[in-house]
Formats: sequence, C-alpha cells, structure tokens
Amino acid sequence: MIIGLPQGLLYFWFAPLWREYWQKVNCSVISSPPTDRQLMMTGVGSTLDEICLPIKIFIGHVKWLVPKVDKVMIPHLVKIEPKAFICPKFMGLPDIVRHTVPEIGEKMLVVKFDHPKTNFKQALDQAARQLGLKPPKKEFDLQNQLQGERIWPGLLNLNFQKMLNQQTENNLKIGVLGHPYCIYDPCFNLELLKRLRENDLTYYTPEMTPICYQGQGAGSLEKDLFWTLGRLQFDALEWMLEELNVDGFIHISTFACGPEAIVGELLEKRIRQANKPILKLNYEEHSGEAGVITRLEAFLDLMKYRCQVC
Amino acid sequence: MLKVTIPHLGNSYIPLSALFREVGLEVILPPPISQETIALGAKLAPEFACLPFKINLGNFVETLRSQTIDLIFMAGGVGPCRFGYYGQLQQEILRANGYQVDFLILEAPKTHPRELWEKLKKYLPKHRLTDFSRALSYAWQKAKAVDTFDTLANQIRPLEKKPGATSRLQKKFYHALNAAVLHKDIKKIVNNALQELSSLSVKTEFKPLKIVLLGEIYMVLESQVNFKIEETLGNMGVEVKRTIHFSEWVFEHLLLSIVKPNWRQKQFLLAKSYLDNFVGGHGLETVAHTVDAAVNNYHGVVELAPFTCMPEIVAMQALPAITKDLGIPVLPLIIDEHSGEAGIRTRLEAFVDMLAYRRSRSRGGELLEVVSRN
Repeated sequence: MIIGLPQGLLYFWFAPLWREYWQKVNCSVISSPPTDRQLMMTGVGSTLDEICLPIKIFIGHVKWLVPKVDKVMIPHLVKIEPKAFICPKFMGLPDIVRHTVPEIGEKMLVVKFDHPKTNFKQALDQAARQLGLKPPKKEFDLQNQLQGERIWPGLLNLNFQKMLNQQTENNLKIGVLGHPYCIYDPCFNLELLKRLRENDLTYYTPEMTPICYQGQGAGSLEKDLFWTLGRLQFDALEWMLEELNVDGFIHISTFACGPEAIVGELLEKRIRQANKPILKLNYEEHSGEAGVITRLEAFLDLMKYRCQVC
Repeated sequence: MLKVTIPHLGNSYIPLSALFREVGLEVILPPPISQETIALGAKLAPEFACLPFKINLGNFVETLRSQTIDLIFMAGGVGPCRFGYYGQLQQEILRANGYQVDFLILEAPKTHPRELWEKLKKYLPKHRLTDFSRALSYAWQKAKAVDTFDTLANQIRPLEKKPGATSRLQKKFYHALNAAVLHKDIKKIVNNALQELSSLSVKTEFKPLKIVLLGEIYMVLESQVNFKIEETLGNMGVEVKRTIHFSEWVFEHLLLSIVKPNWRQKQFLLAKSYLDNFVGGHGLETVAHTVDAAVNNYHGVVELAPFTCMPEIVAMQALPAITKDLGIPVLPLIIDEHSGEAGIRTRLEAFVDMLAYRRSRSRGGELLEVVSRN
C-alpha cells in the first residue's frame, strides 16, 4: 500500500516519525514534492479566500497526491502537548480537506493526535488498524526521543541540528522566528533562508533550540500561552537572547495568521525591551520577490551599520 | 468605592452593571461604541488582531481618557480562540501607552476555580456567598429579561404596521430595565414591556421570511458593530432568529460546562457530517445551527464573523457543503474596522430579494410583498 504524506504544515517536524512508522508496517511512503508556484495556486484556487496560505498550500499538496497514492495521510493535530492547541484550523483540518478536495473520498486517512487521549504511537496504531495492518509491537525508535510530556521538535527531527551544524559562525547572527511551515518552505517565504545564507549570515530557527530551554521563555509569561507554536517561539527567543546574543530578528508569518497576531505582538515587545532590531514579514499568495528583497537588504544594511557603531 | 469598567458586548452591560453594583463596586460604562472607538482601538492593537479585540481596547482607552478607573473586568479563556489572551495583551498595550490600570481577568471556574475565588476575594468589598448569590440572581433575571424581549421583538418587527415602533419600545425597555433595582420592579417592567410589545398593531396576512443569524458571539450581539443587523433585516420584513444569547452563553460556560460536561453533544451530532471537531469559539455552533436551520425550514442563514476569526473561517469552509446538501442559502458577512454600512446593507438587500424570489418559485405562486418599505 502506498501512503502519501503532504509536504505542508507540520510535515516539517513529523516527517521522519511518520515515514518510519509507515515503513515499519510495510507500506511504501511518498511525499509530495516541495511546494512550487503551481502547487500553491492549485490550493489557492480550491479554498476559501479567508483561509491562511499554509492551509492553501497543504490543500495543493493533497490534490497532487490523491491520484498517485492509495491513501493520503491527513494529520489531525488537535493537541500535541498538555494545555496547548496548535490552531483551530488544524483542529478542523480533515473537514477542510473533505470540503475542498472532494475527490479524496475513501483515500483520506485521518490520524488524530489528541493529547492526552491518544499519544503518537496510539494514534498511528489506530490508523494502521483501520487499514487492516498490524501495528508494530515494539515502541519504535523515535518515540523514545519524545521526552516528557511536551514534544521537542529538535529531537523529533534531527535535520534541524544538522542545519545548525552545517553553518559556519559568521560575524552577524540572526534569529528567525515563525511557524515551521513558514520558515522551511522556500516557496512560501520566497527563499528567505537561502538569501540569508548568501548574505553570509548565520541564522537560528526555533527548532534548533536545545531542549534545556524547554519552558524557559514561555514560562515567564503572565499567562501560559495556549498555542504550541507560540510557546516554542518564546523558548527560542530566550535561547537567542541569552545564549546566542543574536544581532537581530526576522519574524515571518502568514497574512492574517490568528495566533501570530497575539504572539507576534508579545514577541516584538520582548525583543524591543532587549533593544534588538526586528523585521516583520507577512506573506500571502501575492507576495512578490522584489518587495521581500528590498526590505531584507535595508534591514541587513541597518543591522551591519548598527554593529559597527555600537 | 472601587471604580470598575467593562468592555461593551451588546446589552450585557445591563445584567453586568447590576451584578457589580450588588457586590459593592461602582461601574463606569465606556461611552457607546462609535467610529472613534474603533479607530482608537485599531491604532493601538496589532494589525491582524480581530475586531472585538480592537473595540474592547477602544472602549478602555475612551473610558480611561475621561475617568479614573481602578479596575478593568475582562473574561479569560483557555483557547484555542484568541479571546483567552485578550486581557493580558490589552493590559500590556495600555501600559505601553501610558494608561496605568489593573485588570481583573476572570478565568473559567472549571479550569481555574481557585484563582478565580482568590482574585474575587481580593478585590470585592462584599464577597460572602449570600452577596454573590443575590448579585447573580439580579444579573440573571436581567439577562434573561433582555433575551426574552429581544426574541419577541425580532418576531414582531417584520409585522409592525407603524415602522420603528418595535425598536422604540426596545430602547425604552432597555433604559427602564437598566435603572430597575428590585426584583419586583424588574418583573413589572418586563411584564409591561412584553404586554406593550404584543399589543402593537400588526399585519396579519403577511408571512415574513425567516432568517437565522449566527456566527461569532461579539459580532452577533453587538449591534453597534454589526450595523444593527437585526433591526435592518426586521425592517426589510424578515423575522430574525438569533442563535446566540448572552444569558445562554453565560449559563453554558459558567454552569453547564461543570455540571454537564457533554452539554455540546447535540451540536456535535448536528455538525458531525460537516465539522467533526470542536474548533474553538462558536465555529461548531455555526455549523450545527446552519444544519438546524435547514432542517427546520428556515429560508436563509446569515453568518457574521470578524476578519481573521479562526473558528468562523473553519466553519465557513464547511457551509457551502451544507447549502449543497440541504439547500439552505447562507450569506457570510466578514466585518472589520473598514466595513461600511452601505456595503453590508446592499448585500443584505440582495440576499433577502433572492430568498423572496426563491420562496415564490418554490410555491409556484407570484412574488409576495417582502421587500423593505424604506
């Protein structure tokens, strides 16, 4: 049986885990290709205007996969840690897919992660049983790396550590904040990371944060945030400010992102308190390269100038 | 006496003023919501914050500019809707802009019972159990009264012979109710008002279109922000059934969620084929009530949502499927600080015309009188 994994949303965290699992139960796994313009526009064309771009992109990936595989796995991430959601759109994702990709029909394979009712193993086992497959007996390797109750993307997906190690330390360090599907999808953010590399900058993303910072930043807020991705960004911010002492921040988010409207404002306040520069970039399907390049160049120039002066 | 203020939410000021008065606080209401309020809030709030956030903030700034306030009351929440973080962020924004004021953010009694009690004890001059129960009984009586009156008013308005008669009575009733202090006075005012309302002269032969009004709670309840949609539709000859009432909402969240954890069961079942998961806010309710409206032969549904509202967007994606399966027309209206009355009115008029045509077609008869008189 061929299982398709859409390369969107939290694929960037969970891909190794899901891939390994389905291979263990003797399925072959294919992922959709990295997002390109055409795929994005397919998604944009089939969804409601109001929905955010990452969801539209995800729908594009699902549409690409449907004719090519036996089952498309739709991760239904209601809650992946205690007392925090990801976003209402993730909670309604299977229904959004059902309504926007009607041709998916029986090919939809929903895997529901709902802490504490189901952990990752249980959720995947349930889905495997639905397909008439026998779930693997042994706890599979990656499960052991999910330490404690909260998941930690750096341990879940070792690519982030690799990304960190590949970089040489340059004189300018920049912290990139945002949701994983905004940061690691080059088509979404118009190759932001590549541009930073080309400008000889070392960048740090929330997923690279060492686990010892778990709860450090998010815990210092007056009220606990109830969004997983927001919490991670606060922990990362703590790491970037205290240990790395980065020279500036780039915050990327999608146009009209709900949680980021609140989280972004709180992050900005904290960054301003620390007296660091910040560039906020909002993306949508009409974003143009020239606009991003201009703003990025201006910001980097200012950052360099600032470093020389201070 | 401690001076407190609350954000506007439709007519909730009537029961809430009574509640705070009974526990020994002086309530200072923000000036009515105006374009100025919205502009003030939009200036200070994050760009993509939802409209209720901006208006709350505008309310606070307008109050603080003219009065000294000791405490702002705000409700909390546990997500995933952004409402749960409103208070904290609003406090930070106000402080950053030079307004020094304390917030008392009331978290749901279900998740934070201890914190709630301790906060209340700290601030309220009267906090014996009997004080609370008396205050709650007044507030409840008034909240219930407002909702009973509004429900009846929505039924009478499309039938009234003298345009504007219902709305005038409504205004008078709110005023009298807000001033009433004793249980028996409230009772008398309600009975009189209901009597007056039902004795208005009405058209008997006219069959109004029936529309269900649903969506995000703030947009549905706050008539200053939704361009008085109930009145507008009523004047067009439409009977509006509003699905969200302040008294019900309070009852569900303060009591039902504790004593009957599966209180949403009915809505889950109604929405199941279109939306199979709770998505925060009123997303699930929107889908459930749309199905309900279709099954119960309403002529149409109007959904109200603020721009960037996450739960309503998820629900909105499910609505076309309901229209297709059950044949109920739905008009989604998204409102933000740039919305204009003419735009909303035009769309409502077109929608009502379409519904009227649709009804006459289905009856095979001629077009009945439905459209607005003004």
